[in-house]
Amino acid sequence: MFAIFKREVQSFFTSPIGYMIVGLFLLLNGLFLWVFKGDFNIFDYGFADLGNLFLLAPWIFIFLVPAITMKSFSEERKVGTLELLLIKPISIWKLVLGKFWGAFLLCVIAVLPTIIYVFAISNLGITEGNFDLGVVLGSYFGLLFLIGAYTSIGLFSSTLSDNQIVSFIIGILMCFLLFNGFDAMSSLFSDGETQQFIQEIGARSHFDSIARGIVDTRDLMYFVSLTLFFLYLTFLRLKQLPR
Amino acid sequence: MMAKFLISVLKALVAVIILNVIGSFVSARFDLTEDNRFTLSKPAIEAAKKFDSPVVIDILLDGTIPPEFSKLKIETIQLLKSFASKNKNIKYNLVNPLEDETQTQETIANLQRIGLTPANVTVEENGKVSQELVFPWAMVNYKNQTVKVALLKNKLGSSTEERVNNSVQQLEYAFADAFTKLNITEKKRVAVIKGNGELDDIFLADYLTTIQEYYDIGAITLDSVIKNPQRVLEQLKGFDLAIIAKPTEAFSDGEKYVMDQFIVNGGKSIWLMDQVAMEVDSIFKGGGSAMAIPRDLNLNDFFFKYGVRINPVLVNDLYFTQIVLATGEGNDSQYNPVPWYYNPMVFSRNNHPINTNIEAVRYQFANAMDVLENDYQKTVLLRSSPLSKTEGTPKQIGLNILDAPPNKETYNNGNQALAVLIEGKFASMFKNRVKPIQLENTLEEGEANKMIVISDGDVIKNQLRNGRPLELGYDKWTNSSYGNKEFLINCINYLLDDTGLINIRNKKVSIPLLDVEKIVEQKAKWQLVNIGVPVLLTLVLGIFFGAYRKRKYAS
Repeated sequence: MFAIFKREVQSFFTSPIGYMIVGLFLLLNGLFLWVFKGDFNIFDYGFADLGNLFLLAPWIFIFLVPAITMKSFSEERKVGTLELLLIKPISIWKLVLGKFWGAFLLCVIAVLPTIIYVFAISNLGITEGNFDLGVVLGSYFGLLFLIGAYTSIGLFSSTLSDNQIVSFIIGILMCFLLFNGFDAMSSLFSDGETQQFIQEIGARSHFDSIARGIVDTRDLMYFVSLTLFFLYLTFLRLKQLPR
Repeated sequence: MMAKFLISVLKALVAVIILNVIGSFVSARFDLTEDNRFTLSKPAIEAAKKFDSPVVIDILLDGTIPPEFSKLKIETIQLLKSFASKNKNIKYNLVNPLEDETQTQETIANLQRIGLTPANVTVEENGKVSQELVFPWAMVNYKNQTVKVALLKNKLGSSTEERVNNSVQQLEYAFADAFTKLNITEKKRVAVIKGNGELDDIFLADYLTTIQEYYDIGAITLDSVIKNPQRVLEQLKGFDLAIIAKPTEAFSDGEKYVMDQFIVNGGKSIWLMDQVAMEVDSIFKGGGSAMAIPRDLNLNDFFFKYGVRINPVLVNDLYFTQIVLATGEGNDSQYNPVPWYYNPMVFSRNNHPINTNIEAVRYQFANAMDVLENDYQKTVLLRSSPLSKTEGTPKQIGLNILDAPPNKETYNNGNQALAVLIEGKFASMFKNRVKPIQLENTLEEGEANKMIVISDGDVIKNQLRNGRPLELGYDKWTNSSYGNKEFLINCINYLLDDTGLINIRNKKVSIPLLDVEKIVEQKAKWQLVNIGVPVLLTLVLGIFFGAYRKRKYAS
């Protein structure tokens, strides 16, 4: 598993793709949060918290994570290396997990520099350093779990086609549905309880809850089981692929 | 092959659902916020648990609302979710009161009629300034009752952001308070004492109607003490608390003894005392000046026993509230607000559940109190400002003090006690003394008890407009609102509340704000840092990785 993980990470950083993705994430975040006028602008928002970052980041990742994972299996299938991998003496599960952690690490690397924003709001507060560290930590924690779910979805979608673009688009669609689809669907119902039930199937309500600084085991369970589910689907799909 | 795949998927899906359902039964919740904002306090949970049939809470904050208010909305929903997790009967709805655009005006008028005052928000967008009305209210419906909950709390002279900040802090209290009101089955009884020249009912009307939601109110006349003291005492003992609002006639020893026995027997009391006879009206009537004279209420020994002395002096405070003077005649009249140093604006120090998060309280011709050393525990709830002084009486007070600016250096004995809470095991002031009248079943020593002494009777007095009472704390002349009502409600809740509802007030939530000045100064710098540094880091990473690879392959 570690060999796959290492190979995966290396492949990101030897090609410009890895840097482009990390750079794009940071650039988009920076512009929306600190420069562009609009809902996400922290200066206009006026509160010394990073709520806006955690409002924005899930949306950016909807596009970025499938971009990272699209080639994991599609490309290998296309050039025929997947068969080589599958006949190697390593279990399919380890292959999937290796790819998963590789893509996950890249996302973490993208997120890490945003810690500089924490210093920014800490310095700009009316009383310096007066921001809620607990909430910030909770939010980052929630973001990691969300990225995990996105990554597993991306991996699965990449097994669905040997065309990277198709994998990418399916990945975006599935991430979007998971994050926002259920919320949007719930608005079709007028009954408050049905609305709430449908919203809770989606990832957004769970993420929002963690991002607010409340770590609930139910929300964690949701993300972990979801991630495992899609990893399992990936596994099934790989097993099913004709060799 | 495909069918087998689908079956496996289905199995996994079922496993996921089962896992989550099981997980929801054994869940734990950790509040990472530093102020434990999302953790309900015990008294609030107690209040919420009492409902045994559905409660529906309508939040009138749906629709397009300014960002500060959406923050308020989010916090409200979050809070109600936490309440709902304690009691499944609690449900909430988001309502947009102005949804129907065809009859906006009518809706606004209707809402205002039932007492929901809107917040006026100035929205500035692309240089255009417009006014928007927001109704920051929630309605709690239970059985056939509805209680209004004000989500927004006004604080004198604060910006919208600060207002929202303050409001979020008190949301839990506001709802717990509403829940408590809806669940009161046995109301405690409050007696309004009469017979010694106390304020007329109409001047107490706003306060009494407000506390009627929690308590039953009755009047007790002490005059009949002369004829049948025993009966008055027995009647009085049927009450849990007595309010003595600005008496102007002296108490006889008999009346004092009846009150004393009421208190020693466990009755709580709020005393609003004016030790100096003086009114702004007397100044106007007296052609611009009037004489402030000490008033003898024959209660000095009574309060002395409990460790406070209300001095016959007037507090002159540089933190004042304004009065309005009319100049000119007939149609040419002009109304000008002028500083009035004898009406202190008393800011709370937020050091006790009673005075936490209340607006400034308005006093009118307040007296200063000495707090003496004795066995009772005394808490000063309100003090005059550091920039205040006392003035002895008798003294001629006239509008001419407005002509010259006050000499700051003479304001050298500030921080005078204006409201004191006394707690302890109350003993009779007639202990080991000859009793003025004969009463049966008297006690010399009582159980733990509390009383509050406020050194100005006008604190509880509401103004009138066209003979109808206005809200307590509202000054119709200057159109400003003060915290008198909240302060007195907290007083009575504290004295009578055994469940500790008032303790929720002690909870403080700090919402950190960004410094606007710093933003203006350092905006460009932080924009550069926040975009430049992360991108730079990515580049550095790339260079290092490239160099590492080069070395690896070169070797």
